[in-house]
Amino acid sequence: MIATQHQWRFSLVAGFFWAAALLILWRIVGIQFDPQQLARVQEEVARKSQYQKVVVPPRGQIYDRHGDLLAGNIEVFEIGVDLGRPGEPHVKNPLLLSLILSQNVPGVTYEEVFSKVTIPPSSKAAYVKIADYVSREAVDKLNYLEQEASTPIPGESEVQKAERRQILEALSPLIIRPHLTRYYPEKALGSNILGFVSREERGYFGVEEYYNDILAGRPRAMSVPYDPRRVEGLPETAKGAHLVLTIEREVQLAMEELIDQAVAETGASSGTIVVYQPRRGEILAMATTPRMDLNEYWRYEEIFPRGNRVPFNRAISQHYETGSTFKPFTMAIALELGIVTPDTVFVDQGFIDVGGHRIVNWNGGAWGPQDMIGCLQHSLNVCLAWVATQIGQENFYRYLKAFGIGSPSGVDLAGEVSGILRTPSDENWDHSDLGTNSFGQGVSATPLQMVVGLSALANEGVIMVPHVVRSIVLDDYQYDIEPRVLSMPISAQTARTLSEMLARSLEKESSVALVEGYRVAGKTGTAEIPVGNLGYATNLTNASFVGWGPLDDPQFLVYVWLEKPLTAPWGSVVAAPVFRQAVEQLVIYLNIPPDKVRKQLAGEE
Amino acid sequence: MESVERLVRSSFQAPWRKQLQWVGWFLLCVVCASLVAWVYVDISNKTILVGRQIQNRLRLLESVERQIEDRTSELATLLSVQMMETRARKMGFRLVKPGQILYMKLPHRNQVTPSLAPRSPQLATGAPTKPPHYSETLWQWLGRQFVGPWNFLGEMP
Repeated sequence: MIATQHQWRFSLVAGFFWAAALLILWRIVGIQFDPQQLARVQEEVARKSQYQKVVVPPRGQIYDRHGDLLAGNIEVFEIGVDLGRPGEPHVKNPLLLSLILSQNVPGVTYEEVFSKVTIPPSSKAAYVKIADYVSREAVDKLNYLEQEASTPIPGESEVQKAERRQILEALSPLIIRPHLTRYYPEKALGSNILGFVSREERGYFGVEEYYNDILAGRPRAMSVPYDPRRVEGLPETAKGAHLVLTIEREVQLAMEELIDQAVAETGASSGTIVVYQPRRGEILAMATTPRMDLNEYWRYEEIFPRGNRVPFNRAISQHYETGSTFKPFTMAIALELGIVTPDTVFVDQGFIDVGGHRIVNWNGGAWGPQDMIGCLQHSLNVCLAWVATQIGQENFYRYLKAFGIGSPSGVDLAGEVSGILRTPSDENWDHSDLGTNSFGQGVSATPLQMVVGLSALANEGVIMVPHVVRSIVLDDYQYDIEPRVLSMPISAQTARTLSEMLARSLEKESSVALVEGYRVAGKTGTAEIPVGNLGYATNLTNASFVGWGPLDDPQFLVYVWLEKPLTAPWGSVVAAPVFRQAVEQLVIYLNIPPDKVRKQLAGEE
Repeated sequence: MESVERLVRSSFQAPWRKQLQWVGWFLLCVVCASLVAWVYVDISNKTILVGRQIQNRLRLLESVERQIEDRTSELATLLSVQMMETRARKMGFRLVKPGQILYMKLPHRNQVTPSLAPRSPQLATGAPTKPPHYSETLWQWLGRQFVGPWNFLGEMP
């Protein structure tokens, strides 16, 4: 009787259950057979069960040729605050938190922190970054504070206990995340060669920019499941390669100190020294002014103001009319073509007309009969212009190109520019250019392009590819960069002959560039500075000196350039002594015995 | 004799006996299900514990890698050329001048070519990092547990 009375109620409940079951079934089937819905559900599940993490491999380190670290990485910290969920804010004591952070984290103000930590938590605001690239010292202070607050003091009062609790409560939403950033232990040493890395992990200038791709490695994004049962190992990331440079840091420091001293003593607006190993094409040192502490790269604009067009590395990014250091090229071409020999005599009348342009000597005088050594010794423009006319324009420019003039040297540094070389095929070339170019006027090159071109004279006529990276260490394997030949513009005989001529010319004039115990070849250069199309400034010069040695077995080539020296305009006065001082230090660092000792040692073998 | 047979038959056909059989079967199922559930929970528990350990180790690994980079840079700062020069000057060393150097030829001394960074041993970085416990089924696990000892006989690789 009861069953029939309440039958409809049981049926209703059963009906509800059936309906619910059917709905669930319908949903399951719907999801399974509707790809869009299925994808949406899978995405939702994936989003809630895992989080995205980007594994950034450490940037490769940079070493000098003896393995001393020039660029590495240090641990820094991002400090942030967990704001909590909507309606459940984690920041309980924003005043105290702001006070603690502003007192312990450099560069953070109370107002700034307070405005951030008081943001109400929402679906879009769950975490707020307070500061990044915070040093370990600052983080240690915060950790110490937390540790102090969590340690009960024996016999502490209720007030003290409450204070501790407040500090702990204030610090509880703090999140400290460590990560790596670039660091240069040698600070400004070799800064012009190294370049720097910005906070976006991108290299700027020098090695850092040129080799950015292989130094940086390849960051990889991965999904990390919250469920520990689904944990997986870290993915394989393409690590950044380490670089071993050809630079020797002691030599680099010595050259930097030397050029700073020279600039200070001569009142020059800038200075550059390049030390080069001509046999292997290795750059041993490249010191220019100004330099910057690479750990404070944000001062770049201040040190290298854009308005003044100060290049980051003058040795590769600033070309100039070099003057008489260019004369060895002209003489080398003439010797190579057999147009002159060292004994060829030229009668200098004090002027020569080339292409309707009168060329005179640096002192305006006539030097009478001079052999080719005399022409180089007295740096006679008239003589070299005559030599150029004998060579002829076609040969002259063909050889200059073979020496690499007018094009980048191809060194593995970012920011290299090419110099200016007008050739007869150019519209703005004039016949007079043949005469002026012969002694380094009307043609410009960077110090490194001069070094590379002139290295042919120090290396039996062979130019090697200039480079600053000696080895690349990747995945525990070391790849050595072997020296490669760039070109052979002249014969070994010509190179040896011209080196001897330049050595004798230095010895004859008792140059201040001569180094006791070592025979070196070299050439001074003094060039007036062109002022737009108005001609040349007579009171300002570029003073240079290039030399190499020991003469019988060249181990180094040194190029010195002082821009606009004030104490004296002549390269022989301001740049030559710098060369001598550089070589005096180089022979010690490179362990090159004096010629006499070297020959004695060789004779004993 | 007949009465005995009848008694036995009636005993077998008695409703309470049928019910007891059902209860027995039910309890057997419950015991089996509990056994499977126990095994499942036990394995899950171990998996979670080991998973947590792996997560902690991975965090530690990342931290150690960062610290290695950090310490390398710190050491380089202490050995930087300016600091070394300052230290050397404090200890009374001075830069040598070319004339002060005495060059000597040492007999029987071979020229040693300086070598660059030594090669570290190659790590097997391509090895799987996830143990089989995390991907195998319960049957595979059971099979491994019982079939495993055969490995000692050398029948399986």
